[in-house]
Amino acid sequence: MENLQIVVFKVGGLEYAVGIEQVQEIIDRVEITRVPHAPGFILGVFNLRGKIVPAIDLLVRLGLGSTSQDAQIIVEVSTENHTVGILVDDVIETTEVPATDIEPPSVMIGDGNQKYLKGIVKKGNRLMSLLDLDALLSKEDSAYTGERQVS
Amino acid sequence: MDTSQYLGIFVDEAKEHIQNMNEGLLALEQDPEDESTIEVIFRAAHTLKGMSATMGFDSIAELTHAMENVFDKIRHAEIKVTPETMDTLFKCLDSLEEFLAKVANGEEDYPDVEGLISDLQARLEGRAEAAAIAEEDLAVPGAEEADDKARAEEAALLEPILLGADTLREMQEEVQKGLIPLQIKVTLDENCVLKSARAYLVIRNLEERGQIVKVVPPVEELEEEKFDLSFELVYLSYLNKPEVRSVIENISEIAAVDIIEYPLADKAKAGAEADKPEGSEPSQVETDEYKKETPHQDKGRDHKSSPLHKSKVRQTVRVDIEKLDGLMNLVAELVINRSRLAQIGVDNNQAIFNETIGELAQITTDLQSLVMKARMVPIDQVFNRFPRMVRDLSRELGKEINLVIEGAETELDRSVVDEIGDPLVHLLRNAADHGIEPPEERERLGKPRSGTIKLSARHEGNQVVVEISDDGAGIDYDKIRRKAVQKGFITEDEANNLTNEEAAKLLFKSGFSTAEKVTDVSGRGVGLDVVASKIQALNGTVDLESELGKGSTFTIKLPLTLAIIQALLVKLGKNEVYALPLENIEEIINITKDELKSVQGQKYILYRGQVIPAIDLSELFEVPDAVEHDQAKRTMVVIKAAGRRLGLMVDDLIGQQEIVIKSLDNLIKDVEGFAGAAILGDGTVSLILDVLEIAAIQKRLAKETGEVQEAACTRE
Repeated sequence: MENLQIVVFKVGGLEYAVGIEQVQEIIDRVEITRVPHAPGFILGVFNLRGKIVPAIDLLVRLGLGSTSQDAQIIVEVSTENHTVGILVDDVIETTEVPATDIEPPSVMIGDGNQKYLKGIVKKGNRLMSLLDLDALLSKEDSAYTGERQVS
Repeated sequence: MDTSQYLGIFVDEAKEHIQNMNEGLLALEQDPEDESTIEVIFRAAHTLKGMSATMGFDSIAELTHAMENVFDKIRHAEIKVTPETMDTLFKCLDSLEEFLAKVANGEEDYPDVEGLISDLQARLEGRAEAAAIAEEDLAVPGAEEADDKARAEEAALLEPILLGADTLREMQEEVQKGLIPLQIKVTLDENCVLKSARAYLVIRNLEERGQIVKVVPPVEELEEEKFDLSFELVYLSYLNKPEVRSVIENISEIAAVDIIEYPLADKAKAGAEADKPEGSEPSQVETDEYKKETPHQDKGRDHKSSPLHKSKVRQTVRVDIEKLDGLMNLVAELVINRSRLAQIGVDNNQAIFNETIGELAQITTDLQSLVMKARMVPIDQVFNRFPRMVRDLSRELGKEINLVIEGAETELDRSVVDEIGDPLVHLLRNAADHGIEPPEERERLGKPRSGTIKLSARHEGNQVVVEISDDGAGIDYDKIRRKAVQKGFITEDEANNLTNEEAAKLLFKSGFSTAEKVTDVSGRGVGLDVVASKIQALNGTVDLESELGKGSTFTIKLPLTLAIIQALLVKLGKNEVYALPLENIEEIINITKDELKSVQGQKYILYRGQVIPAIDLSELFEVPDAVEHDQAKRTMVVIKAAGRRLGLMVDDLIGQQEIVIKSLDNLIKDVEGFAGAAILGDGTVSLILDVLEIAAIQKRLAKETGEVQEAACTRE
């Protein structure tokens, strides 16, 4: 089995991971312009060297509250259709994990969020949710229009 | 030979040739006897044949060859131009276009042209009554005769080129110094691909050894390949005929060289003749040019003064549109950075710094306008396919329609030109189908049998105005009212109160078509709404004016470019900055709280005697830290969108600025109210308000609150 290169970051006390090939860059938080009436998980847009990029709140998207106002790092990720910045508390590491260490999500979690996950990565006694960005940024999803929870 | 690198050029040029043929055929249909038109079409077909054969597109080559044969017959008046022949020829062009599109997209399932070729062959055989058509059309007996005759004439003597009196005098002086005047006819090989390059080589080689007095066709046309296979020139040098012949024949792809001594003595009279009215005009013009050229040529013939270089036609380069887009993006970045620098300059207030920024600003502005101009293309690129379309429509609908085009040279941004085609097609089809009446009906109404559709374009300030008008039936506003009630768009009461202007707007709603019968052309209930939304997407407007029985005019107004606009920056709450396109702003006013009226939860003000809705943008956008307005005054920006006025209350005005429109990611595209975003001088992002959408939101809100109120009333 091949190994998987992932970038691990922390939001709201939990660890998440995305495939390194989807990460464009990691930048310090810049000023985010709010977009009125945008879906709740969209914090707004920011300027990344002349490109307008939406910033998203992962926790709102996953229905786990909302990301702290103090979060100072933006991880810019790309899928085929979108480029977005995820606001995170901390970027922990870039690491390589064997594909065998990735469990299918449905086994572990039953809170309805498994469709946004590709799997759960086990590393030592740490558990990291490997995000499925395509599902996360899909407009067809019902949670897309969900209102942001007040924290 | 690997030809793939020439593919783009091939496609572009082939398109031009097809367009020329399209235009030529249309002209030919009007005036079947016009030889110059036939000549143009013939040449285009011929060039296309050569090009496609070189590129290895054999079926294009075969089809154009067959077309060329037909044109040749038409040229020699051996077959008549019938509507059926024209239809077949037009079909061939369609097929060629389809073929090219496939080539351009890298697809390989090329359309089958066998059917068309045999159709063309049948036409040839049927009319010419030839037993068989050999590969070479000239093998047909009739054609052969004509050809032989032509060749005989040619061999006998080249028709001397007419020269102006001054030129002749100067030539005579040169001849007395021992130079030999020659007239040379150079015929290029039929398979020669780069004809203009060959012609250039011939001219250059001759020029190195002598003096070219005149070239027919003129050098400009040679450069543009506007010649068939041969061209002639009058030449002065110390070389004799065989020497000149060997100079020319050293160049490859030359099929034949005919040389005669230029009959100067005989032409002494002709020179005088040239002054007469019937004296050929080009030679007069040529005389002046020759005079201008003479001094250069006397002092050693350097290349810069050669006819090919002195060409008055400006030098152009074909540029990949992607490169221009890239350039435009870079300029846009530069504009943003200029704003940022200006901001820093203001913050630091250093004179020398500000001065430099001022200069930079000037350069950026110049650069920007230059790049914009480079992206401008004449609207003809869209218009040029319409004559053909209207012709087909009129045949299809059994109507007689003249299309008059004005202002085709009007330029606008490439991106707008690319988008404007479909809406115009809709409107033209609409005019042909709903507007223009059948010929019998027109006669009955005392109108000329054939209807006229006028398509015009012009610049108006920072906008381009495109008008499509017809002299047809016009719009029956009462019919619209009835239809609208019937379709449930409005109630009977509303219909009675509807002004004509408002009724016209209903036509742009989806699902609305007043055509009595559904035809193949229009009347499917889609069309005008698509037109309206497409044009709005381009930041433009479309209006309709009509008079029953007299005709209708659609007026489209479009911005020159989509990328950079002037905007007013406004502040909402304490921190949020939004941009309002200056184009939409009518006036900025101060209002007092008393002026603000509230009806059923909706705010209104009286503006110039008109009640207009007022929107508190901070409220609408739920701005977090709202500003308390305890003072009596508020700032209001009055905007005009789609004919409606709207007052937008803002918390502060920041100022006017040039902004670059950037599109929003798909994730937030559906969010209403914003046309895009712009990056401000301090690097932050500001959203650009879409006034049309805001007007729509307001309307919806008004309706909703109205309904809530109504519901509340009924409950009571």
